[in-house]
Formats: sequence, C-alpha cells, structure tokens
Amino acid sequence: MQELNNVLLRLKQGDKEAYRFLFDTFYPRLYMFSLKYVKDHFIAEEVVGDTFLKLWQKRHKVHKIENIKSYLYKMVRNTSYDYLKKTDHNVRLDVKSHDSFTLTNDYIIEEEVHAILIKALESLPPKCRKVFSLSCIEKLKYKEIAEELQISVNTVKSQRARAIELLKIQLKGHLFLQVFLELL
Amino acid sequence: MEYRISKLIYKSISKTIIKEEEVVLDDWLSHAKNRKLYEKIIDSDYIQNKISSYNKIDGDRVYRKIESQIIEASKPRYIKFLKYAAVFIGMMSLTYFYQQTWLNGDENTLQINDEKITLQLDDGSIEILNQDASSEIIDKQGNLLGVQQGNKLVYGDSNIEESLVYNTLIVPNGKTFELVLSDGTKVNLNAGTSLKYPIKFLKEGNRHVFLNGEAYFDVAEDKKHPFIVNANNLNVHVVGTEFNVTAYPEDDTIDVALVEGEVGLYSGKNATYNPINDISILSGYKGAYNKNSKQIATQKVNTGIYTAWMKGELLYRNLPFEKIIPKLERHYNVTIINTNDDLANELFYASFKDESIENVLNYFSEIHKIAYIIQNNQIIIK
Repeated sequence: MQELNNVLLRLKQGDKEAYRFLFDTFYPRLYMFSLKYVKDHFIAEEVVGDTFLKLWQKRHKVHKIENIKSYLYKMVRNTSYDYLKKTDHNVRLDVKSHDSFTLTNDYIIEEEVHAILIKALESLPPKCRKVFSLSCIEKLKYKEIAEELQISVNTVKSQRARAIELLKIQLKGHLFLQVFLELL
Repeated sequence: MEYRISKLIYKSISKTIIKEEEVVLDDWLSHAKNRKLYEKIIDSDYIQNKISSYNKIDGDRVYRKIESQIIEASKPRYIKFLKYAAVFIGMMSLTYFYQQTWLNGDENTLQINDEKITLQLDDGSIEILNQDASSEIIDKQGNLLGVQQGNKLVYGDSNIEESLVYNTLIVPNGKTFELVLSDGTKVNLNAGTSLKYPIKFLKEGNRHVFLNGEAYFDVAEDKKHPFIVNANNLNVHVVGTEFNVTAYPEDDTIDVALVEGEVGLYSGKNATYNPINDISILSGYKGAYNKNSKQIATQKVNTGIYTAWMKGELLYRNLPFEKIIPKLERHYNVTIINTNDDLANELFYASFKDESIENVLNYFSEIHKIAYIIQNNQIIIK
C-alpha cells in the first residue's frame, strides 16, 4: 500500500481496499478544504462523499488522471461551487477568474501542510510529540517547556532532537509519509 | 508547485528542511501575499484548531454511506444475473441432493469439535473448566483460590502467598474466556490463547503475567506495583489502564492497542522498564513490536478494530489471506488448507459478525471466485 501508483492501479481493478486507503488518506484534508467554501459541516461531508463516489464510478479511467491529488481537490472545489450556486442565486462565481484560482491554491497549500503535519505528529511517540509540539509549533523556549512538562532542559533537547530525527527518517521515504508527500 | 511548497513549509515547521530547500522557500516567501499565507498556516493556535477539527472528523461514517451507495448502484445487474443463475442453481442443488442421498455425504460436511478450556495448576495438574457449570479452584492444601462460573474465572484475594505460585489458563480454538486476577484486573482471552499468572501477586514488586495469543486487559490501578504483560519478546508496562495485546504466532508484529490511559513498551525477556528511553503510547494508539527487526513502531488507530473480537466480530484490515487462515482456524476451530497461491498474498479488508464459517468462506469465494471443498473434516481451498 506504499506507493500511490500501485494504489491507483489496484483501484482500477476495483480493489475496495485501495479505494478505502485513498479515502482514509485524503478525506480529512478534502473535508476541511470544502468547508472553506461551503461553511457547513454536513454539506462539506456530502461534497467530499460525492467526490469519492464519483472516483469509484470512474475507477476504470483512473490511469488517465495525471495527479490524483489535484484531481480530488478540483472535484471537491467544483462540487462545492455547484452547491453554492444552487443555494444562493446571488453568488456569481467565475471559477476561471484569477482571484479564485490563487485562493484555491492557497487553500490547497494550507490543507496539505496541515495534513502532513498532523500525520507526522501522530506518528511520534507521545513524549516526543509533546516536546516537539511545544518547541516547533508553539515556539516555546527549552526552559519553558522543561517547566511545563516537569522535565530537565536536557531531556527537552534530547526529545526534540529525537522527534526531528524520526521525522527526517520518515521523509526519506520510509513509512506512511511517502503517499502523503508523493508528487506524481 | 503547490504540493512542493506545502512540503517545504512542513519541513520548515518540523526543522527537517535543508539549505537548498530553504533557498526555494525564501524565494517564495519574498512575495508579501505568500508570506501572509505562511504566517497563517504556521500559527500555533490555528494549527491546534485544525487538530481538534481533525479529531472530530468521522470518516468511517461517511465511508459507510458511500459503500452502501456503491452496493446500491451495483444491485440491478446482480438481480438480472440471478434470474439466469436461478435455473443453474436449481439444477445444481438437484445434483447435490442426489449426491447427498445416494453417496455417503458425511465426509463433505463439517464437524466442528468442542474443545475444553483447561487450567494448569502450579504442580502441573490440569483441570477442565466446564462452561455449562461452576467449579471451585482449590490448591493441594485445600485453599480456595478462585471460583469459575460459566465463561468466567475469578480469583480471590484472601490467600497469603510467600512466593509466586502460577496458574496457566488455556483457551482452545473456537472459544473465548474471561478471567479476573487476584488484584481485580480483568482479562478477556481470545481463542487459541494461554495466560500464565500468579494466583496471588506479592506485596512487593511488579505484577507480572505471560501471554501467548490475544487478550484484552483492564488493569486494576496500583501505582506501587506496575503490571507487566510479557508477550513473546515484548513487555507492556502499566499502572492501570485498558488495552489489547495481539501476539499470535502467524503475525509479524505484536500489537498493543491502547483504549485508555498510557502504557510503556520495551523488549527483552529480562529487561526492565525505563521511562526515559522506552516508548510509551497513549489511548487511541497502537504500538507494534516487529519480531524480525525488533523495533517498536507507534501509530494512531481505531482501537475498535482491536477489541471487536470481544463482540464476536472478525475484522481484517489489509491482511493477506495466508495470515487470515490461522485466525479463521482459531475462531471456528476448523482446519483450512489453501492450495491457491495467488490467493495467499491477496490483501483483504473484511468484517464479519457472528457469521458461520460457511458464510465467511462464501464471501471469500464470491470476492475471489475461489472454490472450496470439505474433505475429512478439512476445508480445502482450490
């Protein structure tokens, strides 16, 4: 299940697991992405659900998709727009306008960064995760972290170093991040 | 481009970025608009919010909905096909009926034997626990150790033990069993599992038990006396929490899935737990000890998958068929011989609840167009 290409090949053959894997991998970020447009949890859920349903229906043509991530984002965005047009007749959205294009790109960048980051955090051992989170995300000083977690500054340093080391190993193409970071 | 930038931003947050990449990112950041986006993305409150939003996402429910729609969509064709198939089935069942009546049909029906749950006492003697009755477990001196009622055995806490005296509970294939240890720790034992434990934990030192197979532990809290489960080469160090340990011989890993609290994991038969260096996992996480690499990896999981067996469910997630076979054999107490090499490595994602072995086999044969026969009380997959 490591390589996206392999997953897509199996999806084409109608493999439910490959499909489920894609769903599990991309659902959260696509849902957050849709939410930015439709501003409603139920609608966002439905939009992404429909997108995945279409992916299953079109699985035979999946090899023609150049970049599955872009394809999914595009589908979700268009489905979100369709919904907006349906509900609010005053919304005149020019999908091709420059503004909406950069906006979409910004949204994608945001969701991608967060999806990768959250996945990476989840993969760290709890102690490491706490230290890493306080240091690299909250930007606290070693001393402040040591006080908050009731550990020595040296432990903070070593746990932080261990976390970063673990993340570096992941980036080398080990483990889950491969699919997360793969650029087709 | 946007994916490349995303990756670089992630790397800059996680301090895993290298110099060459920093140059690229800085160039991108030189545009005010990009800088603004970057600041927003890396804001810690914003990230925390995103994490809590992620935690609220219930993808399983959405997936189930999609799955039902997929099944709906494929139904009509199925019914059409059934109309034609009905004739064949009619003919087939006639043949089958004919065979059943005229040939000796005994050898192609499955007889599932009933195995007994046994308890091995300290002196090596074996007692059979009858699930339809109750019994008292008494040692050689006539002390009452515990009481068994139906599917449950509960140890008392009154005996004073100077030294450790062990019992081993052996749960055969096709059965599950519940055990309450002298300290109040509850253990659910899955099929094909044995657990060795002291009839009474000592006043000093750790509470140490030894597992082969799969069990769910709800450990009574006692900070002074850590509870240690030893499974093969992996040790789980606990003060009081709920978790599932899967240590069956066919699996490459020993899995510890945490439902509540926190446990420490460390390997080595005679090792002791070191809270500084050893891995600890929190609820909602799984620690997997790889028997080959001797490494422990942790990941977030849906712990429901690891505790479903207690509700009589079988869940297989991305498991090759050859790894599923021993689990089916254990659950149903049957023998399965697979002669289909292609099938052996095929991955499955399947869920069964209270299904007969025949239904489970039919599922696999429908999905994979396999045929199986029953011969001398063995299931043979072609």
